[in-house]
Amino acid sequence: MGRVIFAERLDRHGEVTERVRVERYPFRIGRAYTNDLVLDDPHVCEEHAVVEEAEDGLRLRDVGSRNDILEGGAREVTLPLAGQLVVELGRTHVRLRDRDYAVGPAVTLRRRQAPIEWLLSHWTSPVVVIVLAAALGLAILRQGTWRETGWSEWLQTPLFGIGALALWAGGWALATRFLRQRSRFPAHMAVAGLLLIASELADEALQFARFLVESIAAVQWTDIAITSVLIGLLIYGHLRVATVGSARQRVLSGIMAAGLVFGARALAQSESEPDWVSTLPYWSRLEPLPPVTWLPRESVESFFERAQVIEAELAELARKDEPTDD
Amino acid sequence: MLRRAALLAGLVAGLAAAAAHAQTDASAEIFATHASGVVQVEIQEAGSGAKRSIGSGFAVEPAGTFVTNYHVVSAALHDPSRYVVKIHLQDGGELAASLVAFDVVQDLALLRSEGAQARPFALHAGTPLRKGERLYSLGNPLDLGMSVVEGTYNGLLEHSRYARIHFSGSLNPGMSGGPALLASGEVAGVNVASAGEQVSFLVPVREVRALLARARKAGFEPPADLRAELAAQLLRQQEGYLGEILAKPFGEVRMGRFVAPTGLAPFFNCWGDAPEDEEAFYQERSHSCFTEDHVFVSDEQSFAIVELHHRQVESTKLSGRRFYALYSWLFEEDFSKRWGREVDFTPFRCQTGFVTNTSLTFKATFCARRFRRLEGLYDVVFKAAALGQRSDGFETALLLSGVALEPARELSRRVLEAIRWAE
Repeated sequence: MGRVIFAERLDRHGEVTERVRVERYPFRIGRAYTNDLVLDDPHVCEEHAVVEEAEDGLRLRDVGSRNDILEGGAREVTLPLAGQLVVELGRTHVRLRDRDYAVGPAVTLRRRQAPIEWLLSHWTSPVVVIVLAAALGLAILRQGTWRETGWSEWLQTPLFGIGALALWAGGWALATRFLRQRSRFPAHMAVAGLLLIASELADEALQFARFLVESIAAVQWTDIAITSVLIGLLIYGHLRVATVGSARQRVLSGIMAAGLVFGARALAQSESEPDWVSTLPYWSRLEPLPPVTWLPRESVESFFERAQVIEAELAELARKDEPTDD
Repeated sequence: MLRRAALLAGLVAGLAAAAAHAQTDASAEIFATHASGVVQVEIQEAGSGAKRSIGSGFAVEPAGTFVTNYHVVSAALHDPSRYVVKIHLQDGGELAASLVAFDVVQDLALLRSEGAQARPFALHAGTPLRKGERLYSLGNPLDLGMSVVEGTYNGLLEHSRYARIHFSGSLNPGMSGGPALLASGEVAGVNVASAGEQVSFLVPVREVRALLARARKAGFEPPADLRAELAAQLLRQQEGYLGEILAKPFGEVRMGRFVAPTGLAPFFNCWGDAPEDEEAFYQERSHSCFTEDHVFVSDEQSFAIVELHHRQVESTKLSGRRFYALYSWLFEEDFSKRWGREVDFTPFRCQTGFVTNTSLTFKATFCARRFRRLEGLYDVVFKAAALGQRSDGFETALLLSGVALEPARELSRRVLEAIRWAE
C-alpha cells in the first residue's frame, strides 16, 4: 500500500462537505461516474484531473480539462502534493491532505456555554423565550397604563410581537438556508426573542432613569448606547446561529452594526435638537419606588440655591445667540 | 285721578325727551368743540407707508404733544426699522411723530410732532368724579371717522392693582388712546380697553399727568434706549407686585389630604373644580389662582401674568405603578407654550431634584427662559409633584411671565414650603 491521503470537497466557506480516503493511485477526479471522486459541477470535465505517483512522490495532474486546475488563482498542469494542497476544479474547491497532516489540539468543552448551546440548538428554547417575552410585554402593558386595557389590546400586543419576531427570524432563516443549506428558524427565533426581552427590560430601566436622573442628555445617550449594544448583540447572535464567518468576524460584525446604529441615532438626535423654547427640559416621570427616604433628597433651601445656576446658563445662551434684526 | 296720572305721565315723558335732547345736544356740543383736538394715530409699514394698525390720540400742552395708548404704538418701539408712527389731524394733514415717553404698565404713550396744530385738551384735576356722571369718549372706531360715544362713569375697578375707570359705554377698536371728556370738556380718562357690551375701561387722567410731568422733566427728549426703558419699567412693576405677594402669608386651601397655598394676594382670582374622569378611574380636584391685570407689552406678549395651579388626584382603583403612570401623565403638562414668540426667548433651562419640605418629598423642577431683548426679565415655570403615596398625588405649577429670577425663586420656594399634609 502506498501513501494515504484524503481528498476533500469544500464549500465556499472552506468547510468539508465530502471526504474520501485515497490509498490507490491513480485517483481520478471528474464529473463522469468513472471517477473516484465525482464532482457535480458543470464546469468540471468528465475527466478533469488525476492524483498519481511520480518519481518524487504524489502529484496532481490536469488530464486535458477545459477549465484547468487553479491554485491560488494560477493555472497549473501538475502540482506536487506535500502536506496540503487546495485547488479549484471548475467552481469546486478540492483539498488534498496527507494522512500525517497535523491537526490542532481539541478545544476544551466549556460547561458554562451550555445555556447558549441550549438556546441555539434545542427546539424548546424559542418557545420558552417567546412565552417569556410575551409575558413581560403584557406585564409592562398592564403596569405602564392606567386606563383599562381592552381584550383586543391584550391579544394584539403578544400577537403583533410574535408576528414581528417570526418575520425577522424568518428572514434570517432564509438567508441561512441560502448560505448553509439549513434554515435554523427556531434558533433565530430564540435569539430575536431574547433580544426583545432585553430591550423590554432596558426600556423599563430607562423609564426609571427618567424618574431618578436629572440630566436629559445622559438618559438620551444611554438610550442610544443601549439600543446600539442590543442591535450589535442581535446581529452577532444571528450570525452565530447561521455559523457565518469566524468568531472574530462575527464579533466585528456585531460591533460594526452597533456602531452604525449609534452613528445614525446620534445624527438623528443632533439634527432633531428638541426645541426647549416651547418645551421644558425636565423628565416628568414619577415612580412609586424606591421609598422617598432612599431618594437623593435635598432641602428646599439647597434646591433653590442650586437653581441659581440657571441664571448664568441663560446669560450664556442669550450671549451666544443674539437676535440679528434692527 | 286718571287725568292726573295722564298729566304726570305726560310730564315725565316730556322731561325724559328734554333730557335726551339735552344729552344729544351735549354730545353734539362736545364733538363740535373738541373733535379738532383728537387725532388718528397710525402705525405704518416703513417701506410702503401702508397702515398696519390704527388708534386715536389727543393734543395736550405743550403744543405738538399728543397722548395715546402704549399698545397703539408698541410695534414702532419694538421694531423701529419696520414701523413708523404717523398722526392724522382733523384737517386731513399727516405728520410724522416720535415716541418721547411711555408708561407700559398704565398703557400710555406721549408722541411729539413738531408743528402739529391741534387744540390742546385741559386735564381734569378738580373734585373726584361721582358714579353716574356722564362721560363723552372721542376716537376713530374701526377707521370709520371721528366719533363721540356717550357713557357713564362707574368708579374705579375694585380687584385690580392698577387704576382703571369702569366706563359704561361702547369703546371699539381704533378708539384706543382717545380722550374721555367730562361735560366741561376736561379729560377724565383715556380710552384703553373694552370687555364687550357697554363695559369699557379708561386710564384715569392722573396717570396722564404723571407721565407728562416725567416727560417735561426730561425736556420731552425720548429715553436713549426705548427697549431698555421698557425693561426697566417692567422690572420695577414686577418688583412691586411680587413684593406685595411675598410680603404677606398666603391663604390655604385643603385638597383631599393635602393643604396648599391659595389667594397669594388680593389681586388674585381663584377658582376650584372637581372634574370627574369618565370611567372614574381616579378623582381629581383642581384649584387655580390667576392675576387679571396683565400688562400689554407687544402683540404677542403680556406681562404680569401669575398663575398657580394645584391638582390633587387619588384613586381607589389604581395603585403603585399604574397610579404613577397616571400621575406621570398629569405631571407631563409643562405649561411652556403659553406666551410669546419663540424668537424672543432663549431656550428654557431647568433645575430638577427631589426636595423635602417639613412635611413632604417632591419631584420639583424650576425652569426659566430669558427674554433676549428685555434685559433681566424671564419667564418662569415651577412644578412640583408630591411623592411617596401609592394612590394619592398632589402637583402644583407656578407660572410667571416677565419677572426677575430672584423674586421668582423666592415665590416658588414659598409655594413649595406651603404644601403639606392636612393635620
